[in-house]
Amino acid sequence: MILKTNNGYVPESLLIRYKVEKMREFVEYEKFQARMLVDNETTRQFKVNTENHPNKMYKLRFNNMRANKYTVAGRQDATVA
Amino acid sequence: MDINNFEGIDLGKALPPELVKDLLVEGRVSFEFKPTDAPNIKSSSADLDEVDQDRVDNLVNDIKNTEDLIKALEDANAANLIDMNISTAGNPRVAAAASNLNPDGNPNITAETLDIADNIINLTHLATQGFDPILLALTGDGSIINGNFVNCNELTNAAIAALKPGADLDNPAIDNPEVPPTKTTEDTMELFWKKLAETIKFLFLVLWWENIWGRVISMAVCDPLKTLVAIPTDIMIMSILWVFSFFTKEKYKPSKENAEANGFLTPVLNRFKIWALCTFPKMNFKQYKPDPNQTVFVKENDKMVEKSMVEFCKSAPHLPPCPPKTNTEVDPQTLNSDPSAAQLMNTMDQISAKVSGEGDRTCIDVGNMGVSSVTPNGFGFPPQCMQDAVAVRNYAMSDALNGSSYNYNDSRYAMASQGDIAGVRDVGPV
Repeated sequence: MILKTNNGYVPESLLIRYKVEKMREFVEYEKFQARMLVDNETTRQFKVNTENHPNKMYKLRFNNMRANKYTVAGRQDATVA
Repeated sequence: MDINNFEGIDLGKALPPELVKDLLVEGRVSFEFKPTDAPNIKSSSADLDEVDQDRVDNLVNDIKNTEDLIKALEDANAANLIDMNISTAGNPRVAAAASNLNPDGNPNITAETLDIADNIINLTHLATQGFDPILLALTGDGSIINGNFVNCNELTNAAIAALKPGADLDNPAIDNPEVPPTKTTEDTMELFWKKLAETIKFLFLVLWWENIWGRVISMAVCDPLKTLVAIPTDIMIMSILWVFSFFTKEKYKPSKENAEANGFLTPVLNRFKIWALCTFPKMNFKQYKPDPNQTVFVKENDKMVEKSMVEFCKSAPHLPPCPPKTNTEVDPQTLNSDPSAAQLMNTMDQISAKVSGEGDRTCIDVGNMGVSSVTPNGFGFPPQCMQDAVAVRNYAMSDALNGSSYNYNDSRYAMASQGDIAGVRDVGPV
């Protein structure tokens, strides 16, 4: 059961809102590091998730052309090209 | 092997696999180093390969689980905050801040208000330092307040749309994978080349109509001998451009509609044209006479009026002189009543004075040139935006901590409603 205050929201969610933002920033960096290590189905999904995340800052940081060069998939693409 | 005893080990070469295995401690060496140009540490052990692969897989899976957890938290937060409607009736300072942030002027703090406040806090440094604020304002679809700043909620402009949290409107496939993208890469590239070709043609036409006569006059007066050599070359080049202009769809000529166009290039061109034609020839060549047939459009009483260059340049010397460049002479009212903005404007004025020369410089009244209402003197977001954003965020956080908004009938919130946290709600001036 979701309990909301008289102001229509759950205070706990607001209190952890910025902590979750920090966690998202952390995991986006971890995802990029994983993409630098290995190219498999999971890391490819990492890239798609970052692409679809509503905060486009992470897409700008980790899915740009320069960043992709440091990933395994990006290096493979460069080798093929 | 005793890893504390390096006797007998040639440190300039590859370490033996046994030593690498001992060094491969959790937290020290997280995966096997591949052979490099200086392979001080390397191993070809098949066992180590398997161990490393397992570690990488475990690491990736851990990250995946973490992301799933964070995704669940984000979704839960969004669902729990979507109906937020915090009244600010008891605090006029926060009410004013919220109404300043909300596009509809709503004084209450909603989820959208909080998003805007977060955007301002997170992106102000980009909007004011990373980008040109004037370009930012020109590309935006918001309005300019007090002639100096863009509105707080003007986070919809093209420059930072890519950074704005929200749906990517240019790619419907991201929002809904079932919907195919409306524009393909080929379409985009075709549009790009088409616009580029139109721009080049437009520039050629502008060069032809705007520059050739002034260039010829200036050169003929300044250096007749050089003109004899240069003009035939210029005529050849301009003739090619002129012939080329026949293959364009639209013929450019300075027109009233062109001057009134709500674009970036036309006001700037008008402004430069008027400034250059009135300033340079008269400054350098005393015998220069403006072309009576050349006309410009100037803005008078919110209407575009056509004037001849002769008439306009007669009035040019009567433009108001620049105010003395001292802090006390700057009217704060014209600068959004903000001392920092006044200081910035004063600094910019000093810089422009150094560039243009401190002597007999005159100020051009852009209000008479039809550009002041189009070209903003913007400094990005005013400091007030950041203050409002912080006030709204603080007030929302204090509301979450405060017991006054809890449902007293719910036992879950009984502890939280035992007493308000003194002073938390009182945000005060930020």
